[in-house]
Amino acid sequence: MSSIKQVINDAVEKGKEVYEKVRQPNPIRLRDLIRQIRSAKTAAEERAVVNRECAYIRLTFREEDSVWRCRNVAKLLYIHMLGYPAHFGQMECLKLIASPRFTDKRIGYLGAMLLLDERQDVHLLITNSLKNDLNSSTQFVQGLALCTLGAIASPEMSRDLAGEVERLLKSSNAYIRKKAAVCALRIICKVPELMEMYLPATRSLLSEKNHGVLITGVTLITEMCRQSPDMLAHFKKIVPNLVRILKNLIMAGYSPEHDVQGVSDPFLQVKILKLLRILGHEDSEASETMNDILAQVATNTESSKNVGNAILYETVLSIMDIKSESGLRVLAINILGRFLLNADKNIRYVALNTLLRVVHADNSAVQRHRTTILECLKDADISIRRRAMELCFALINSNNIRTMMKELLSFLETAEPEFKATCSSKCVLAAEKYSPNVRWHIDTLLKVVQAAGNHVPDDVVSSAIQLISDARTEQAYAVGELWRHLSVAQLEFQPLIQVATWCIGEFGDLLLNGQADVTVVESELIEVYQRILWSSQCSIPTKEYALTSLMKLSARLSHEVGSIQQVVSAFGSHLNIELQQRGIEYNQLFTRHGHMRGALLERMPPFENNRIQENDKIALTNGVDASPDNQALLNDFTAPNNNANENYESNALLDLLGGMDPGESNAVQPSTTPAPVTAPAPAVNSDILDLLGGLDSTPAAPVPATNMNDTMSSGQSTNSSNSAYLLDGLLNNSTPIITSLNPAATTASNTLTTPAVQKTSSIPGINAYNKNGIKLDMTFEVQETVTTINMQATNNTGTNVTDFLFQAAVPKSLQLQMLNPSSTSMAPTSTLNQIIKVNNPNKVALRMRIKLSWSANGSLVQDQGEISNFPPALWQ
Amino acid sequence: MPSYASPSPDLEGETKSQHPKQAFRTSERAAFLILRRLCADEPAIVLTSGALDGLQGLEIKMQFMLLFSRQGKLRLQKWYEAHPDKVKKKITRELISTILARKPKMSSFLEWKDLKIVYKRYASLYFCCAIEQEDNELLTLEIIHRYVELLDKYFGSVCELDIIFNFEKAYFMLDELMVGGEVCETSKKNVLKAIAAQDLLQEVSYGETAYEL
Repeated sequence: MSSIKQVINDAVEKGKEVYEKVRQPNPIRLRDLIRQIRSAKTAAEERAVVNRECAYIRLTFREEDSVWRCRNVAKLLYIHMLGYPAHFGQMECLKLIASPRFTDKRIGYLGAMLLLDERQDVHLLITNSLKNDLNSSTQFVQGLALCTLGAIASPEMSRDLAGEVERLLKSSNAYIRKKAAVCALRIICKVPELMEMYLPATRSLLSEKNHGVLITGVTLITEMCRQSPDMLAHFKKIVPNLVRILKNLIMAGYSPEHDVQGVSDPFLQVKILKLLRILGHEDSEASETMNDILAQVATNTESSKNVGNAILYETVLSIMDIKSESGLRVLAINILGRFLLNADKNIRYVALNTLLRVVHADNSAVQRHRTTILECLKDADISIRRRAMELCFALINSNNIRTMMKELLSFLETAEPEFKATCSSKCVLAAEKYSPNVRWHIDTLLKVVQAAGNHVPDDVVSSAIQLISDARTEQAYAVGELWRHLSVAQLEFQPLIQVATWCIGEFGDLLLNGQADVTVVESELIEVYQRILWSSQCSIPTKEYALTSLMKLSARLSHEVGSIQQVVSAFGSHLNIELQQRGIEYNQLFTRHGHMRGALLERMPPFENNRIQENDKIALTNGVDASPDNQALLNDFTAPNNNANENYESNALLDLLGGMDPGESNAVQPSTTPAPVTAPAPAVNSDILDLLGGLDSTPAAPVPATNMNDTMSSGQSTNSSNSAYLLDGLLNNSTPIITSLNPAATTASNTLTTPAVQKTSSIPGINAYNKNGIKLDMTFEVQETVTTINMQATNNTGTNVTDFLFQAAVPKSLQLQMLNPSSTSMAPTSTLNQIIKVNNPNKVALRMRIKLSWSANGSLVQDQGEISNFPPALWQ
Repeated sequence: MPSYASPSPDLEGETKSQHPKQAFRTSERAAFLILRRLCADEPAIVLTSGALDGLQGLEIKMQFMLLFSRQGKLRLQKWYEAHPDKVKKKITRELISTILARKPKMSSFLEWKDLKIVYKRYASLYFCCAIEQEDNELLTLEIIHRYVELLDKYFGSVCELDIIFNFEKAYFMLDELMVGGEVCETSKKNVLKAIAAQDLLQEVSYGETAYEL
């Protein structure tokens, strides 16, 4: 029977071959295809050649032509590299791998590495072939399989083939051992729990002579140590071995096999240095053992070539990372200093990069190379300049600020736009921290604003303004300087104009009465303002600055008030609504409320702290008549960036904690005086405080302090929900609490608390889960989009429950935050609580997938489920 | 360094002390992995209690190596991390255009996403490797150089055309030098010996139907 089948098959095979020959004698060779493709003159022509060949290749694949499969797959791989789809070759690669011919296997595995990756389903099929080939008697077949496994192993493959690799790791053949070690590395990366399996075999890799096995062995150990602290502890004892290997490498004479430009096996040296770094990190004993050898490598390595520098670089990293002697650290930094002078830009680059990493640990040692680093600001390579800039800022201190700032300012002038924003911000920070005196500080800020043009971030503008408003003695000087710049300014640079107009508005009188060292005529002033206000180059915010400033000037000038009014009233019909509003409002100050103008436009008091400054809008409108939208901003608690509120939150936290003491209840007040801008904010916060002041009188369990910390410091947007959350523990006793409200609590508190109380009581709680003796009940509070779920788990199992873990997942459009549970274990009939917060901005139906696990009687119980019976009131 | 071995230290600690049995730990691991797969399927789902921290333990040294011509034509690509084809193409395109736009005065390194790119030009070919932040870029230049030397020995003063027409051989060479992104042989002689032996094996395996690719 089978022989008949055989005959038929043969006949079919022959027929096919004949057909093949008639149709097209042989598939064209790979090199001929490449030639054809290369001779194509246009992209379309190339596409045509490729499409024709692909069609043909598909055909042969369908016909199961095994003779030419290898050639066809090779051609397909070339086509794939050109960017054409080649996935239809995946199965053919697997067939090639299964073929007994070495050529087929070689191309098949190559194709597998190129066309499949760990995401492919075909992996099940390739795993079998790999298993076979790993057991082959030919080392190169084993080698191919190992190489492929090392490149594409997925977690599943890793598990299936881990045993084979472990066996090969103990092979007597070094060629196989080294490749098996890399495979083991890949496997433990993919499936870390397989690590222990490789431990015994790995240890013996270090006693090898063969460098290939040594380097892969060291790499494998490095990865194990990185992944697991246990392994790290285990391998501490190999430090002397590593030191010996390294010593042999650098002491041994010339060995042609591993020599690279006079350095003996740099690849291995670097790997060993890296492993030493991990082993010596925060371990003085291990560090002690390697000090000597690191010093030897650092001093003996030839540094004229890249390869020597590669080793020195690695040595420096290791020295800086372990607990090395101070002399050695200086030596390391000096190596980097030498690198900075190297003609090779690559070496300068790594030097700066490394100095940046170590500058905080050894600032004084790095300071010695300051001039070299400053030179690097002028380097031709942008990434070198960037590193140098960052390093310069790290090096600034009060002794060198003048020289450093001078260099950095000239760098800022010519720097690429992408540098200007960060550079100017950092200049401002540095000046703030180390400036020798106020005038220098002002000068520097003005230079920064000038040099960075439009790339000045807003915070620089506001800190310049704040600085000038603070420095009473220097205001005249500053305003004079600013006028000098403004009168000749190119109008395209907004930040400078903003600072200048703000200051001239505030201190214009100093300018006019001659204190400022310049003589200005009022009409000149008005002219410049007109130029700014009617220029198309100035942005709207700049014009807002200018308009307010001009208004302020109306109280400082004597002759030109009429023309100011003209300008201001012209803005009453401006297209921009903000400017229009300002125009109209300011105009009112000339007409109906003229008597108030002088008082309203008085100088602003100097700013009290930095934080208020950050929002320059507030800074600007602060002392001026607050326009309606400004008020709205302050009243609206969801407004972002309301910095002042944050201040009060932290105060509130302090007070909250204080409020836990019975003695202090009701005595809680915000400890600092509120700035006028933020008047509504403290009111609300004190409400919360007062509410909590009432807390101690009730038996309700206080929320743990850490949680409060969380909620209090979380962003402004959740502020209102936080307050509700703080209230929730008190709901049972709501009446006494509300009566205990401080009478000072304003209406704001009522609007905040009352709805919260009502709303929560109207949403019924649900029973989310009741199985295996564990019951989960949930109660809800809704505040805008945030639902706070108070989950209570009850233990009805009759035994102690430990390791209780509740996990939850919600649909994509929702965000979930889980706070720590009150406990992870429950005695029989006792309960534990956990707060879950769900942010549901789109108001979609809430569903939750949950997963529970706990141990009872020493065994693990797990369950999962879905909760879909949430009350619709939660999202409607 | 994120380490898998202690994804949630207290959980693990407790398990060990209370249930020394290996079986229990494995089952917990399994649960853990299921959970992990769950969250891989639905990326937006947030899992909780910090139990899944530190799972990203992957530390493949070299992420990929690309060879391309001055005209921007890809000549060789070796990926040691799995990516969909589309992503590979995008990365390749981006890198080729970035590197070709760099001036000769610039260093051979650039930071790209969270990787370091090390490249070097040899005649008309660019060799470009992506390595991890912690890796030694100077040594990567040496690895590239070693690869070029090997090709040079093998082809006899190699040129771009050799690599175009014998791209599979160039891949074979790379696979002998590096496996899974790690250097596995530091001796040139050994690499060339292994390649020669395999070439010979290939000829033998042709048998009667001797043909070339």
